Order: sequence, then structure tokens, then C-alpha cells
Amino acid sequence: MPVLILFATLFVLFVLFFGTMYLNAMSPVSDDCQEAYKEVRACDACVLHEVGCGFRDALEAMKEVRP
Amino acid sequence: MELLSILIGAMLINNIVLMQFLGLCSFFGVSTNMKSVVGMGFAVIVVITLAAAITYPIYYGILVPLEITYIDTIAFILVIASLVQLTELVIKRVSKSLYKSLGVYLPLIASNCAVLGVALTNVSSEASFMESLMFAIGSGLGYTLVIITFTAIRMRLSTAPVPKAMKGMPVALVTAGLMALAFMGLAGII
Repeated sequence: MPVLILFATLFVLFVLFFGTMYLNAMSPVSDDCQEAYKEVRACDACVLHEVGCGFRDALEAMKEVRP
Repeated sequence: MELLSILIGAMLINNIVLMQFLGLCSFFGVSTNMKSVVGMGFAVIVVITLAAAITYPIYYGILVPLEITYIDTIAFILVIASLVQLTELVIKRVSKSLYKSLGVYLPLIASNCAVLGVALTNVSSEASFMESLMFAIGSGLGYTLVIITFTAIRMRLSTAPVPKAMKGMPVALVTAGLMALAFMGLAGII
């Protein structure tokens, strides 16, 4: 029984998460906000964009020893 | 008075970034220009406060009675991610200007561990609902204060004659360390 309760709770939470994600994806960003939306999500919004566009690239660049 | 102490304590003394080292990715990553940092800061305040208000009843109303408190981390991650999506959806539909200034930063905050950290601290400290809410507001304000200050310093540093080996991330880390030391000096105010 405790296992069932656990899985039921997790199921509800996952349904909630995927449900809100689906609804959000279905709701488009308006044309007025497109520019701000792209600016925030652009690679150069991050300080580390010169070394790469992801966390892994940034970590690799930090580890690199330059002569 | 006690609630005010919690607010000031969370904001200045136990600052979420400089003392608890949470939310460092966005702290170092987003601090490029003041406009985006202010938007990000206010979005963090809103999300941390809402997350604290939602996770508290979920923990004490669902997880504790069902004796499944050991899934609090995964439950809070899912609840916070859902909350961020829902908030973004509502702001997107209600106000375009609010979405432009605040909503666009919401997905970046979904993966910010400061939000999860505050929710978990609230339940582990066994604080009351109002105390949890004050701690969350204080943490959000502290995050915003620190990230705005840090960005202002970095903007000045970008024009300063910093040695080549220290340019970029090294000098940013040293700056953050010095800021943490300065904030430690506030420990005696409460």
C-alpha cells in the first residue's frame, strides 16, 4: 500500500508537470514579446558565451590550461 | 518583529548566493547587463515566494500525512517546474508588458536551485507558514540585491585595467568572494 501511495503521488505530480508544460507550449509568445524572448534565450545572454553555448562547454573551458 | 528579523536575516546575513552558495549559475551567467538582471531579480522574488507558499501546504498537507516525506526533493522539483510554467502561461495571457519585463526570465528560473533550496530549507527548519513566506521573500530580495550589485561591479571592471590572466571569470570569482566577506560583516546586526 505505501508503494502504491508513493507511485500515485509521483504520477499526479508528473501529470501536473507535463500538463502545464503542454499548455504553456500551446500558448504562443506574442509578436510584441518575440524580441525580448529571443534576447533572453540567446547564447550571448550568458557571460560565458565566448567559450561555448552550454554548461559543459563552459566547464571544459574553465578546466583548460593555457600555456 | 520576529518576522522582520527573518526577512532581514534571509536577505543580508544568510544571503542565498553569498552565504549558502545557491543560484550561482545565474549569478555568474546572467550578470551581463543591468536591464536583464533587474528583470531576472524580480522574477526570482515572485517565483521563490510563490514556490514557498505552494510547497509548504504540499509538504504538511500531503507528504507528511502520507508518510512519504523522503520524496520531498523530487516532489518540490516537479511542483516548482509546474508552478513556473503556470505562472508564465498566466502572465503570457494576462499582460504583454509584464511578460516582456518579467515573464521571459521565468524559464531560466525553473532550473535555479535557489528556489528549491529555499523550499527545502523551509520544511527542514520546521518554520511556520508566515516564517517560511518571510524567509522566501527575504531570500528573493537578497538574491536581487546581490546580483544587481555584482553586475554593477562587473560593468565597472570591464573598463578597468585588469591583468590578462585575471580577466573574465577569475576576477568575477574574486569579486564574489570579496562580496561574501563584506556580507559576513553584517552578521552582527540582528
